[in-house]
Amino acid sequence: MPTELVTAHAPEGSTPPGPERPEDRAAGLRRARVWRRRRSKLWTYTGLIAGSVIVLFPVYVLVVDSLLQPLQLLSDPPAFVPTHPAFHNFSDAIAQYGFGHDLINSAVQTGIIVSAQLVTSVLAAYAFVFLRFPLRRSLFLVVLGTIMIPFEITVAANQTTIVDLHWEGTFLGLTAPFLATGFGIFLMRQAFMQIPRELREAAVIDGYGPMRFLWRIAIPLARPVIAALAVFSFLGAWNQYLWPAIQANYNPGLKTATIGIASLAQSSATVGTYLAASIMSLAPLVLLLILFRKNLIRSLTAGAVK
Amino acid sequence: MTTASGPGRVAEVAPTTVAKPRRKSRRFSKSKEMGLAYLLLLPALAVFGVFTFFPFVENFNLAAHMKGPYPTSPNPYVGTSHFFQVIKSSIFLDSLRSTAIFVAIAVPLGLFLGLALAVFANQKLRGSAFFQVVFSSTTITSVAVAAVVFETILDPRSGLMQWLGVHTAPGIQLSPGWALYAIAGISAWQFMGFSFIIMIAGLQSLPEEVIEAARMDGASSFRVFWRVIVPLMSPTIFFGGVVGTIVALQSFGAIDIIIGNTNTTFTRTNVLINYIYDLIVYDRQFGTAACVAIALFLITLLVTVAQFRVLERRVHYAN
Amino acid sequence: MAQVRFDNVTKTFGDVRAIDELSMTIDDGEFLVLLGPSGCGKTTALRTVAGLEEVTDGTLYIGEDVVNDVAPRDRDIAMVFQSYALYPHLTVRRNIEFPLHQRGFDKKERTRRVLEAAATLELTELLGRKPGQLSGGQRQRVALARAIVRQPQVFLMDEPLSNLDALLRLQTRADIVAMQRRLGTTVLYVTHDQVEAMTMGDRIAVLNAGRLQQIGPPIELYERPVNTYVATFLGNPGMCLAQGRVVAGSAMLGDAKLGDVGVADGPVTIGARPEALALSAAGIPAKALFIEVLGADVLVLCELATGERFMARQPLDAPRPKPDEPVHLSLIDKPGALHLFDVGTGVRMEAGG
Repeated sequence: MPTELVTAHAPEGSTPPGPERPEDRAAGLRRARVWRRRRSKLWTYTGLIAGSVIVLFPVYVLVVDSLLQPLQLLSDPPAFVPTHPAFHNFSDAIAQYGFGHDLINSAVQTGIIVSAQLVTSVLAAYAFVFLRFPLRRSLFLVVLGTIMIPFEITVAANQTTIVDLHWEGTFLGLTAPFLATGFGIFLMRQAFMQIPRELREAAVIDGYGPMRFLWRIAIPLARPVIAALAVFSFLGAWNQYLWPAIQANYNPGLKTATIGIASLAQSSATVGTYLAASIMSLAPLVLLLILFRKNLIRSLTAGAVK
Repeated sequence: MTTASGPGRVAEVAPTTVAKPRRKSRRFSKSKEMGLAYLLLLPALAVFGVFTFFPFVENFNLAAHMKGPYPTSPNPYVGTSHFFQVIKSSIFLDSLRSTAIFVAIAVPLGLFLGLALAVFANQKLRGSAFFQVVFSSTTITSVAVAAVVFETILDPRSGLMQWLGVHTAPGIQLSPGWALYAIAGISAWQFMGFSFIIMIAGLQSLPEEVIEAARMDGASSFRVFWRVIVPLMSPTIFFGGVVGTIVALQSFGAIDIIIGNTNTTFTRTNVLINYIYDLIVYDRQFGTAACVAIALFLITLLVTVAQFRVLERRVHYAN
Repeated sequence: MAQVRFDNVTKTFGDVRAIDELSMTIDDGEFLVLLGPSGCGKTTALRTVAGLEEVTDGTLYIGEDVVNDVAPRDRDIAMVFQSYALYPHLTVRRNIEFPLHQRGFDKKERTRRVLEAAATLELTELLGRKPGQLSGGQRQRVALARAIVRQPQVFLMDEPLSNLDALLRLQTRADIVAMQRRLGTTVLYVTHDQVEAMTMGDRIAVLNAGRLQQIGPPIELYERPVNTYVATFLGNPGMCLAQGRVVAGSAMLGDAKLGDVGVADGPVTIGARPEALALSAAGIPAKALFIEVLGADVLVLCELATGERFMARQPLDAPRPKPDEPVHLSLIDKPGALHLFDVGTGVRMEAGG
């Protein structure tokens, strides 16, 4: 056979002798990159799923077990699907253990606190931003200072104050310490400071006094932040534990939902019942989270990431 | 008066220049402005005065007395000796130890998980929005709910832990060591949501070019994470750490619910804030409670300052 | 009567005198431009007329009344801000209507005025939109409409054109002037752009560090600037200055004689505008630095032996020097080409040339 023919065909499976052809190299790199990206995507999805499991497993247990019949809870292997959904857990919580009353208490308490915090924060922030008066800077520092003072150091004295005022075990006593918040004032101040000064001046020239300006211009323009503040206040108030626990000791009828869950768990109620109660108390918050997700994140991080 | 003329306009022009009283109002006078300002501030300041500042000061007053539990008990002044007495007591020291363990576990764990999840969820993948909602959802759980659910999970009677392959001794409440760690884990789980939110915000504000440059330099993802992302995220991590510690030192509900107060182990697992609660509600020892509160406050202050001193040096601010 | 009068008005912020004993009268129906660089006090002066700043000393009159202590809303003025200050959450219609709410006009009257103002500024189709959906020029017109809807005695304008691009600025300039002529309202207009000042104002008031430098019709400030500050500020490019001497009744720059002047001998600051200088065979020796071809003109930047710089204007077809080429500059033979200023104070010296 002529030698040229022999050398023209490389044996199968081996790379041609000599330098790599550029097209092959490019194809190889592209393949590697696709693999790399796929692999990193795999990692990411794994991480995401693992994280979801960690976060959602308790939630899953919560939902499932609230619907399990009492006996199913003790089964082995544990039941993961409510085959006979025990809706009566929910009604039991309300009817038998008075949890509905607790929910109402929570609603009232939270309603009072949220409204009060919105009003006090908006008014105070407005004064700090748009009005001039002596001690303005120092008073604002004072307000900031309240954020620094942790609740535990005021608990004892607050309790004695409430008792002295005979407010213990009342809604007044329950909500009074939380009617204003330095954080809220700070947040609203940031929002009001975004309003250009010229807008205020134009309104002055157009004849608008401070109160009308607040109501017609400042508040409408700061609406997203006000909404975010309302959500934060709601979350904080609804999930409070320490103070409502103290107050409930004086008046068990004042139990809020969070305390109610705790007392259910320590009473003779079944697991299903108090898990059902937990779900009921979580419901409004879940709703809030879904509705206000973007707003929450944006406002929380407005101050955090400098 | 030379304004634009037109039918019917002349009639308005004259009244506006002649009949309108000119010196009607002074400019919004300084004292009126001041008065309005104080009026607007009054509600907030009143609340702060009565329920934040006064108690803060009064706490010291309470701490300096040793009032008996009944309204009619004697209230002798004991001064600072009370404080020192309290912080030397064994109950206090046990509490302190528990608190330290609790915080040392819960905060870093929560931060790390939040950061890891944020890194994953920040990738531009399909459905990442869903994951973001999921991961931030632990912020809405109240302490009660979290405690109750985890209690169910950890309760050996429910068999869930066995199913997962973990063996817990019967009645986890009865094994003091585990209880504290379990509760720290629960708190980390709760804290994870908040940590996730701030980490994701932090990640999104990172300069993309730096990370891309690192990738182009051939660093593996792992390397990129530890050598580039974490240092760049250090301000956020630092912020999360500070806030998390402060919150953790005050976190009360989980222990109250899970442990209850019917076990002797309770006092062993008791963190400082629970101790305060007990003193107020059960023993009605307001003075002692005040002392512990002062101690807790000082510890919080110390830890926060220490964090600033030690860690802030390591924080790289992007600018 | 919509005359505005400053009578020794001073405004201080702490130790800083933003306006220093300003006295001037703006006639009814006049378009007066307050001109100067940032920080010269022109905006502060405007704001005192608006009532947004309180007068520290002196008296301010609008019409016959002393308005020092009168609230802005009672001064019968309207203001157009640099950033327009439109209410972002209100529609154009409600933005324009806004100033009328507090004046006691009924709904019918308010609507009529709004529509009239909108028509004047060609905003009728945009009434339902919000400011966020408008272009810069449209927003500016809304701001103007909001100002005219109350038919005030005085318009105050704070650099309203500075946020517009160059072409829009030109058009709007003409529109504003035309509108003012039609309405006959007194206008106080603040700007740092001397081209705007020259083209729009009936008179220009130049301010520096809170003090009035000169007030008068544009051409007067241009041809007879009262000091070096005004001389270099007006004109595009401004007047060039160099240190020279008067020797035996002649103004000299180095060895070059520029002209006979009726001024005592001694050192003097010499000023000449580019259009008064020409490249010539003999005259002031200089070095050509930079040649700018501006379409209709050619401007040659030259450096004198002393390092000072003069600009000369050449017609398009004249031979152009190259950079670093030595040239000579001479004054053209026209009255008013040469300006003399006192070396110490910068004040104008009456020259003969």
